[in-house]
Amino acid sequence: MTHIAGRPRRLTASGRDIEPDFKLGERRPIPHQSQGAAIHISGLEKHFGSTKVLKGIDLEIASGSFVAVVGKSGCGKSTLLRLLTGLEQPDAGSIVLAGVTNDGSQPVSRIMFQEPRLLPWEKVVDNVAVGLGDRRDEGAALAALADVQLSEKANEWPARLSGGQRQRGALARALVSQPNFLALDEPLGALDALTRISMQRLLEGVWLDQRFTAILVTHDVGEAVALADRVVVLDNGAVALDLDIDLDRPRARASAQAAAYEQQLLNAILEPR
Amino acid sequence: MTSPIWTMTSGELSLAAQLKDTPSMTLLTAFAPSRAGRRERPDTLDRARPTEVQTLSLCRLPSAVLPFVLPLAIVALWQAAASFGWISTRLMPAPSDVARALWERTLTGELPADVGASTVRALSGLLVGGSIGFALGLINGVSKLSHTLTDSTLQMVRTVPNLALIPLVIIWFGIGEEAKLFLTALGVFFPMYLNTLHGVRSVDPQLIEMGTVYGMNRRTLFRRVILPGALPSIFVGLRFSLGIMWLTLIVAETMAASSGIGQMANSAREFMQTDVVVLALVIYALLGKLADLTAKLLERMTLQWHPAYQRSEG
Repeated sequence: MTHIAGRPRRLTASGRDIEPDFKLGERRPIPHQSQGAAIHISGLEKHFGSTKVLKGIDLEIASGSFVAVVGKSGCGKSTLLRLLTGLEQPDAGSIVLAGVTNDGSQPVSRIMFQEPRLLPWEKVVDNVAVGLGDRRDEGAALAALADVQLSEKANEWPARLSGGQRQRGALARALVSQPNFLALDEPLGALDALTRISMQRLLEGVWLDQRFTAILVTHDVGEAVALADRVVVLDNGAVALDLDIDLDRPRARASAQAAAYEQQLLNAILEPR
Repeated sequence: MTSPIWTMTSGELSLAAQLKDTPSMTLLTAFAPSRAGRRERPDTLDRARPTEVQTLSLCRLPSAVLPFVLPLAIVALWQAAASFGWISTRLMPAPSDVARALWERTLTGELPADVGASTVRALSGLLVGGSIGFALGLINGVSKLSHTLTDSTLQMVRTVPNLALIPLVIIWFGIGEEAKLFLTALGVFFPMYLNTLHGVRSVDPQLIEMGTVYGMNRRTLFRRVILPGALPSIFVGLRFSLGIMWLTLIVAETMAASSGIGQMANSAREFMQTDVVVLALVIYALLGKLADLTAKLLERMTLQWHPAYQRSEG
């Protein structure tokens, strides 16, 4: 993907009902030039030893969409994400990111792990600047921190932050380079229930603002329905269900439609085929 | 300190040593009604004798003074024992005699010269052995090839007590400065090497993976992830090294020397000057403590991010 002319579609996040620690008035428009990368996955296979973890995955992921991948432990969802971010190499098949193979480095892809993985010996703002690579740009790092409502902790050590704040710092680090693709490896799995809900809203908010392509791996069906446009259920290394979630954004919590989607997904995950 | 080398091998020691090393946790503060002490005090004691605890004047002292109470009490007891003739001053001089020896030798300039000579030896040994150990620890921590090539040999050499090399060292270097430098450097090398190696190897692999995913090159990864991650362990190595540095130097100086604290003690023995012998011990203790304090200060300055160093702020 070469440079993209024009600005991506911007949806304002105002009017969302959001918990009080998020100061909505402080959101300011940032001229984001990035656009979500389209991802084409075909015939993707991966095995560890004699175990086939992925058995020929084919997926077309539209630019700027939010896709959740759910499934039981060991279904291959984390491996899929590691392949997508280049942490592992596929044994067969290919992954193409917005027209460039994942050997090329044109689109910026970032990953957010289950753990924040902040460097304990660097202040939060310097940790965010890790996402910029060699470019030293404190302004960009501070802007990214403002995006995740963490400006006031910029000069703290990570050890002084709560779990949710650390994960917000990790999100800022992932977003600071304005990625075209953000891989989310159960980033909210280790948070308590309330923090998780507020992080989901934050994540939806920045995604609506910046419109990168997001792939979220999670075991939480509720989270998948709350965030994604489309949920892919993996079972035993293959796609068992590919479901579009047609709900208004920002997503309302615990709506009847959401519950129906969740039930449908749970059935696909839990019932043996 | 008879065989301190083997204690370093268990890397688990390193963090434990740091975490428990808060100066306020002395025996006395445990019973003081201060905020730090309250946590440690058993509840029963708290309820049973609140008034007695209140009246104990020791508890009124600030925690900065408390560590000095015990050594001062020992010195006072020792002085009393010598003054009342409970112990023979020929075998064990009174603290006042030791203080007089300190004063006289300082005036004649012998003592500063000896302390200076010993310090120069100690520091050059630390510099040579410490930097070689540090460098090898880093290299072997990062490079598998180098580790495979050298580590088992080094571990084998490590099991030889370095003071057992004295006869060989005398044959090689004679009894001059080189022999002392060699022994001190060798003694300092292993704790530094082992702890640096352990530090580099125990850097959180998740952070290394994060650095790689975020496009850090090898140099940046080393500078921003591996080295700072290994630093707490490196400091443990430094503090062990400082202890071994003095230990080796004492023995090396007693072997043969024309200057230095060890030589001072050795020649005093020949003239039965027990006060000077004890003075030498006191000076070793002070120098050792000074070295340890310096290392602690360095730690405090460089490890501000470490949770163990943030307790005091809140």
